[in-house]
Amino acid sequence: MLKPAFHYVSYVETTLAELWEALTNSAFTTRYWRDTSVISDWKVGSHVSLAINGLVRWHLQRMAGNFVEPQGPASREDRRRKRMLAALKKMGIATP
Amino acid sequence: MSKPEFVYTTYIETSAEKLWHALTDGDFTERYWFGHRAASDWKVGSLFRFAKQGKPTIEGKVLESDPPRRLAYTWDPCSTDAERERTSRVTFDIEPRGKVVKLTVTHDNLDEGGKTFRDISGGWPMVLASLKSILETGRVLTIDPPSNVAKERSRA
Repeated sequence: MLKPAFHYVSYVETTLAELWEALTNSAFTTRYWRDTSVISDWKVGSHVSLAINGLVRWHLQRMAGNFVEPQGPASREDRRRKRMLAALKKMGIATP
Repeated sequence: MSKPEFVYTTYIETSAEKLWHALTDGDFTERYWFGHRAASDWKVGSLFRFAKQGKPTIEGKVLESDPPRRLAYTWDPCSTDAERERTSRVTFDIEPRGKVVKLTVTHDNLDEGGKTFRDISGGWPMVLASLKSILETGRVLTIDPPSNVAKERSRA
């Protein structure tokens, strides 16, 4: 595990299937995660995007578990945004 | 703060007063703390004791008592295994945040790699999940011991 690591354990009175749904269903995540939709097809290697009010704010990559916040020069961000939107479109997910 | 330490934060939909009561009332702790009754007058310098079915499990002394904001006590497990370990310390910080309260439990002054550190790292998440549940729903959690599959996974 990479250091520093944040580790948190909780016990929830629910089923495995319901908890999985709560973590991966974007309509559900917006309810408890401050309007954040988590968008992915949840296949290994796929991108995971976090969108707040329909706007993609965070772009996560599964590799090494780190996330990348879109930032930096406008041209770079534009290119990244285009790639992100193309990836979401490929997954059949509506984009802003 | 000394290393290693265990810090756990959770948000509970309750009041600071109700949370204080839940942490200090023996009848209440027995319900969600898996049978452990807390007993003390919660004055600074007083002794406190946890007992399960009348048998002492944890003993300590009240270090800080500022209801309903901050409670700290020393923590000595009443078992022979942990006897040679140093006395650890538990601090509860209660902060009202609108309709909920933020509870931070800090357990420090622990022995590196000791039995107490191992036990409390597994124990606090269960106790605090059960505490949150009883305060929010009136029901406690029943938690089965880990299955062999989960044990294998946590070892990997």
